[in-house]
Amino acid sequence: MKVFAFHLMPYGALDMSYAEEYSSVWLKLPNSYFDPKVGHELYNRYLDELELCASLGFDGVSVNEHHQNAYGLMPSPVVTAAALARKTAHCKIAILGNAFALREHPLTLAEEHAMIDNITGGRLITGMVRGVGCEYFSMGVNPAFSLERHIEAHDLVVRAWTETGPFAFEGKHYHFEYVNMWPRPYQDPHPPIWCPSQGSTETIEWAAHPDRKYTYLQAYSAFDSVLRYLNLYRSVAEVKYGYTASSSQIAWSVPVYCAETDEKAVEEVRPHIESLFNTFLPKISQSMFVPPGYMTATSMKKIFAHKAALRGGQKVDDLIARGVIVVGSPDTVRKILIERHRQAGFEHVLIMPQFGTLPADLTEKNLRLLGADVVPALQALDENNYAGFEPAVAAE
Amino acid sequence: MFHLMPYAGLDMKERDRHKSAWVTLPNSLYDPEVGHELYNRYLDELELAAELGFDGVAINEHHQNAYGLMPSPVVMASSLARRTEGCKLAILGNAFALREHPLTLAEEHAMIDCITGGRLITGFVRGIGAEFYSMAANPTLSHERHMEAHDLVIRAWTEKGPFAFEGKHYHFEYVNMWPRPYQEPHPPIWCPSLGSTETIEWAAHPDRRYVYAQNYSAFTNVCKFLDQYREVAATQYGYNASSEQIAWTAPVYVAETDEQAVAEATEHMETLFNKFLYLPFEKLFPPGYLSMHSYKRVAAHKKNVLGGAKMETLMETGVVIVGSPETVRRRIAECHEVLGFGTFVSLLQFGTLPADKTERNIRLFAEEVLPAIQPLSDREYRGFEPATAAAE
Repeated sequence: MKVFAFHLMPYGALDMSYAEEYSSVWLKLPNSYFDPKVGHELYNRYLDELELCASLGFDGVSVNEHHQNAYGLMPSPVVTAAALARKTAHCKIAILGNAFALREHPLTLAEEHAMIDNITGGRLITGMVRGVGCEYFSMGVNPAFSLERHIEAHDLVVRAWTETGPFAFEGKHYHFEYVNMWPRPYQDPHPPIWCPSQGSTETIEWAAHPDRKYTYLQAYSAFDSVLRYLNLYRSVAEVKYGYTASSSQIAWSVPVYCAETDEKAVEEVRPHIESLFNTFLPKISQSMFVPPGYMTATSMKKIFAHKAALRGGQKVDDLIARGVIVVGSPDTVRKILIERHRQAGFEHVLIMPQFGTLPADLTEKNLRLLGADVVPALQALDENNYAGFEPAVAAE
Repeated sequence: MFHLMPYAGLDMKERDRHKSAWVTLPNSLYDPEVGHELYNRYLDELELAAELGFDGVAINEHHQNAYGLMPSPVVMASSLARRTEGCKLAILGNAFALREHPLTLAEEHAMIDCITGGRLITGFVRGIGAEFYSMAANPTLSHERHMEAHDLVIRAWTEKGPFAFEGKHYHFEYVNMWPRPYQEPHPPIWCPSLGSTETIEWAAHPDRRYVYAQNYSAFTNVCKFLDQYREVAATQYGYNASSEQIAWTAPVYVAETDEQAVAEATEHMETLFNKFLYLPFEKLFPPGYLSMHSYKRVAAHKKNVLGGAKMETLMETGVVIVGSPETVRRRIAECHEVLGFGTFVSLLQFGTLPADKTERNIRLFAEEVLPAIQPLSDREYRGFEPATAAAE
């Protein structure tokens, strides 16, 4: 198994009295709550943390895109990925993801990914996402076209990365007379593409298509939902497309916290993990999370049913019990993750070692314990440790 | 020190089968293995310059070409952010208005400014004509979009969000930038230009007083454009422009002796001008990109960048500075005496100039030239004489 460290880069110093006036840290929380001096410290601390992960032997480091919020300070993961490019030597750098279709000109991102892929000699993983609902308000983009723009932007980018230019591209949404990408990506035919998602059926079916076989990454959810979505991917591959999905097409992202003992881990993590779920994450009840037209009705119903964790008022014990997060001594964390892998067989796990307000010292301790006592055991796992996919069970 | 990051591995025979190194030169001529080496070499060169005491390192944006491999200078500035300390990082520039969503760049610049603790300089450019082909943007709207994008970005950087922005070209219901820039009120803004009157007048406006950077041109033209900036400030706006508002960019090559410098630089410098920079006129200035007035002026002054450049002429006209440390020092000091630019941006790698010569150029410049030119100030400037400027 490959173990990645994923960072959201939250504005952990947020003045929590914001809640007296604002219902969310997204979109409308005034940016006067952001202090650039504090932001300077946080950005460099967070980049230090990812660089530490790289030196502790994680297989990759990962960043993502969110606009106008305190949950994640990376409107451009390109900036953080580029900052890591020459500060890390061997690990993968995964942008999970970038919202190509939020832009009128997806090739600007394609160029940037190609540059990073060239600088790093092929260490880039490209995540293609549609962006969460709030992004459509921030960027002034129509959510109803989200899915078809996403697909068209993908086709344009992959052609730009693989075909000799110049060629013309005439799509429904994108029109370019001269597509001729300098530089081309380093990896041949192009960087691996991953699809991080909250579990939309359209995304799963699109990612699993035999022309693509893109790695599907399930973002944090209760583990029974994770299992359901990951198995849905395998099931779609099997039933709809007639091939057996490889475990390398399956990935899971999860907040993890390690301390010396189970009790200590729970006590230390409590306020910080609760801040992630109750303060920083968007509330699913808020219309901006799922704007009209952003999803099909089917996907919307499913997500509402499975995303109970995003309703606010979360308690650490409940999050642990439902498997949304993994917390404990290195022994406990290792055992749980090995068991999860036995059940779901993901070849990639993205550990989120910092969340919400978790301070520098606890984050570093978490990383060092993970690096020493958990990561090596996970890296040794392969298909032999996976219980295997049983379509009948998955269909339940 | 400024870097273009050219694709020096270009097969020049193949290059000559195409009209220019821009827009339509097939990207099959780009080898990613070579590109990987070049990008890292070039970043090493900028990091070396930072270590050796240059005040700043600079990069820029050009799409779909072998002249400069930076469709996104944001990537390069980000990569340099935590590999340099103390020096400025200047993005000279980024074409905000080529994009439908200029705030994505504004966000990126704010992130870099935060990461570096305020070392960013933001260059606002329209992008040269070729970019409008690559990005499928309408050149006739370039100017007004450029200005509107600028207004949007400045408001986003300085006003408390969320606010709505309803412009002619840009419409956003919620502008609320997280993060805000580190520098107060925002990173310094520079306007690199080929000399368009509109840009000069816009940059010199008392509300802005942005640094105007004249790119490689014959020295008489550099004088004309930089003095025009001072002239516009004095006559049109009624204030004296500070020398801090004036910058000049030129390719420089230093070697032990004048003869050696010329011998070593000639091939690579001519490659820069004749192979990489050359653009057919309609690609450099597509219809509507410039006002008629600017168009005529620029056309008259830019003959030297339209191919067939010879090292001898480039040196004579002062487009490039090549020679021993003594010659280069003296030349820059003389030019400063005439023009009083507060910033000199040196292009120390150009065209196919290889790694060893570039490194020696950087080291010689840092050791032998920098200490002499960094102390130059208005005391050494002969001062601005409007009458002279107008008569020339």
